[in-house]
Amino acid sequence: MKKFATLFLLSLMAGIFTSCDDNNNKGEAVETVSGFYTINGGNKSSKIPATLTAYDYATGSATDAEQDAFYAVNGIALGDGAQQAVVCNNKMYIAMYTSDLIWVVEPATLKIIKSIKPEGDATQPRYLAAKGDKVYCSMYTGYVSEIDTKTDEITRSVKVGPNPDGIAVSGNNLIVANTDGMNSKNNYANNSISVVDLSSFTQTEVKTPQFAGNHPTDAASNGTDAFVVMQGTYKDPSDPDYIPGIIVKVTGTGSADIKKVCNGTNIDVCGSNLLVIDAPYYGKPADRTYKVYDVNTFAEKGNIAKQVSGEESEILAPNGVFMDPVGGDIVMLSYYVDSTTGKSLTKEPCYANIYDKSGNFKKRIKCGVGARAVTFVHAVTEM
Amino acid sequence: MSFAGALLSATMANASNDTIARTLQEYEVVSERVRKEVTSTAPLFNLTDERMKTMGVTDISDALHRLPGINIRDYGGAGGMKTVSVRGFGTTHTGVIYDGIVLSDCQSGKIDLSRYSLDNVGSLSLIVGDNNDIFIPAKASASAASIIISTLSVPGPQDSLWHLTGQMRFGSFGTYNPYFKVSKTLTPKFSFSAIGEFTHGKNNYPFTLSNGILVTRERRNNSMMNSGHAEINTRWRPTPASTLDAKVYYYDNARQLPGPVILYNPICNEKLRDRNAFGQLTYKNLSLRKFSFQGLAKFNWDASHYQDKDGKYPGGVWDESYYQREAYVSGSALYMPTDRLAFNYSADYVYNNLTTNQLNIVSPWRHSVLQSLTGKFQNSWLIATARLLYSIFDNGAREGVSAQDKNKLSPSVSVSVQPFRDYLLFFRASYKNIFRMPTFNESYYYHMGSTSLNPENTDQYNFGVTWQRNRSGWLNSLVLTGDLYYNWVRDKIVAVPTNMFIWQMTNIDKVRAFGADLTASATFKITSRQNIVFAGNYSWQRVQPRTSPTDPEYNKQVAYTPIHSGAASISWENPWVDLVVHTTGQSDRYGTSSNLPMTRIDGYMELGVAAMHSFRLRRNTFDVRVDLTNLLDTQYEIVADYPMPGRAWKLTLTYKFN
Repeated sequence: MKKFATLFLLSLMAGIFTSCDDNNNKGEAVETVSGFYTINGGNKSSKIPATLTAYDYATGSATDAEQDAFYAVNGIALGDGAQQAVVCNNKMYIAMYTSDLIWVVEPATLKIIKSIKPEGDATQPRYLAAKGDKVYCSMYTGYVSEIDTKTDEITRSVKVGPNPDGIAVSGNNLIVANTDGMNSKNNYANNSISVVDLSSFTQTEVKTPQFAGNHPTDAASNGTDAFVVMQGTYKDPSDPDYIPGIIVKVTGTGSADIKKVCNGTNIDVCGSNLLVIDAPYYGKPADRTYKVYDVNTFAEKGNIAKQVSGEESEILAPNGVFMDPVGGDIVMLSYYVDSTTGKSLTKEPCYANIYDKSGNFKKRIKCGVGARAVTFVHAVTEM
Repeated sequence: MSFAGALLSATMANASNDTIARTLQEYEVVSERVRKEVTSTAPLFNLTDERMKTMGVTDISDALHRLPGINIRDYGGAGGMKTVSVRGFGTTHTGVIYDGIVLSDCQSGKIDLSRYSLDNVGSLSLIVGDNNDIFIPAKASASAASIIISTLSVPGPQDSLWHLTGQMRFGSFGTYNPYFKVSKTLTPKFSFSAIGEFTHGKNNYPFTLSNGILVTRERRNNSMMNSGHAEINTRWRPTPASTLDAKVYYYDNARQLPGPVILYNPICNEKLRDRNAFGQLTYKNLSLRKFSFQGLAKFNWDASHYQDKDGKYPGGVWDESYYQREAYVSGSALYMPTDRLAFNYSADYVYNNLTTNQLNIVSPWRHSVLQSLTGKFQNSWLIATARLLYSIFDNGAREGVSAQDKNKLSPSVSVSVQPFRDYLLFFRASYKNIFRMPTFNESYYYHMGSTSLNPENTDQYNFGVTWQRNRSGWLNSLVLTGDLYYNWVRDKIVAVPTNMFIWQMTNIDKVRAFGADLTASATFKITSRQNIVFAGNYSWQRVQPRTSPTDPEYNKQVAYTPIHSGAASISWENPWVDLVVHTTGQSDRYGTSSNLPMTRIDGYMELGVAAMHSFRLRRNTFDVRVDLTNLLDTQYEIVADYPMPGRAWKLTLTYKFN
């Protein structure tokens, strides 16, 4: 909690604002990064609620992984099924899938400003993206909703493909990964990628027959270049039916506008860097790769971070990679793994490894159960 | 009808023709039951309908709490599923025997006990391991522990009267429950009974939701249930020493499922409909001096249909349907060459299949052949038994790769000693090795299922003592039991995550359990017409994951398993209004086996009272019973986020003609 207080104080002293994906609002200020949150989904069936873990760069310490930073400030629980958070217009939006809610909180303190309860057909918030003073949220019932951050109301919703998850801003479009995740019986056959025109708020659903066997799950962008993770089959790499997960770039509304970049299972995009973890589901740790590609040429630039077996820098069971657009630090989330059985410890706190932009290991922190996303918070010192 | 083993081992204890004849004239075996309990070579705890009444037992879940070593998963209220595990073995290791035949569920391996109402139950027993009831079907010895439900018998051959029971029960949360039974012996050779019951419950009980500084009073919603059950029983006595019992049974339950409490989101649209129909035949012949024979046959049909409406599903609806069919035949022969020796051979054949829209493969099936050979020696101070069970499983499917075929040999031994002739002091020791086959869900469920699973193995050791003291002054009777046990589960089947989204079934886990079960019951005589009856049970159990020393779960307590649990009741029997005060409780539990502090579920004590009175007018009996449960309105959970009902009442009005 001490770290939290530090964050809070920092915000009081400096006056906080946060950058949206397209880095508006720069003004006269000098921007520094003050920390990040890990968004922890918890494990409902084991009575583990969703939590947030706060990390403060100034003190180099994190809040207790077995406590909820949100609860510590607000005195009520975050809820169940936390997915992602995004910062926009000096506010942080947290998507709660199971609790069917979007929290609006002060980014530095986590103090509740408001809660947005989706109504009608567009419910069950999943992933978030921001552009200008708008926040976009994929709704698992097959919609994308727009939140006006001036009023913190849902202003528009558009029907997309089934079970959208990852979304990413690409210029004036929003790229949506329609997972068809509730249709495992038919091998996610109705999956697609939606391209939503953010002016008219209409969508074009794009099928990807060239990647049969893959289905989109996540998306990331630098505001312009948008990439989608297309998960492969849930098979062992030695299985004849094995199809690896791939990363594609989406540049338009035709199937031909979706091009494969590389194999991969988790991504982030920051500036000209596409960060890709390729961790096949049944593959061994040695089979995994952690690479950086150029967002335009797709040329391999090097490794995200060097992995040495048995060292603290090692990612044991990757849950995601996140690069700070300001400071350039890289955070990778992972489960702990039992060294004897190789079991991922999904009901135990996770960890976040922090690397500098060259991939040098800086620090490992413990974060909450089911850590699945990282949101960086930017503090601003006025000149 | 009492279950076959009870009846026949009582016969064996005094294997003279006289006893056999008496037994077959449906001589009440209640006193034999008590005797069986104290001399049993493995832990046996029995609650008769009369005892349950004395203890103020309100429903099946409450009854199970009064038996030691049982851990119940209760999802709350009349519509909430209730499954049991015994002494740290999982639910799938607990057999449920209903009127002599083991119930099975090839899909999940779990039996939901909430479907059995106590209105027609003659006795409820728990047996851990194998004891000296040796004349039982092979399948009845194929579980680590068994819950035995025996329903009330049909009238005896000399009883020519009509017996009618009409009962109406009302309760809190919109519950009502009519029950009707008629039985008669039509000819000395043929008796029948017919039973019908229906339960409606809104189950929308209030609970307190504590979310930090926000404490609100909520109600369970989407919780309504309509449930009905009908059965017909007949008994034909072709000769004085043989019987043929037939039962036809139908159960139908349509309920809404309130689901776990989710913060900020009360919306729930889940529904479940369970239907079960079966017919069974039991033939017993004890007419030969040294041989007895019993044959069973059953056909069982089980349908379960789950539905959830939510915009996230394809077409807005999620449907799961499961249809299970089982054909079962069993033959057992008992050979008693001398008064001291007995041998039993039983052979069972079971065919199970499952049709569902939820598996990797199409219509899996399983043939099982189980054979058991048991020997028993008995003299005035010793009872010893030994059994070998040989099981063969043949798995297949209409389409797709099926699970492996298996065969296994499982031994058990047990002994009971009465060291002093003049004291009713008995020592018992038993060992049993048994396994369970992977369920169809574990083998074939989408993505998770694995066809290469091995059976889950268990070893159990028990040492126990029973001391009984009969009538001495104001103490009418006293029975104390104590058991210590050590159990070991290997190749435990668990879903292991390979990452956040992918889980796979494996035989990885090991669990060690040790503990103690204590029970006490006593009757004190105050005056010639007044008694105080006490019954209590206490269990201490440590159930520890032992898979890997580097796993945070290692040596902690398995999720949802209390270290301390128990129940007690005191009743005052008198000519006016019988009163019972009863309590059940559990210590803290955790939602995770690593006992993560944030997953702690607080311990609880629940207190209840019952008052009952009977009026009799010639052949008419009127019973009035009032129950108050959770008198102190304790807010507690047995399963995380499934709050249990608070204070509630029940009024039961029964009319009997006999």
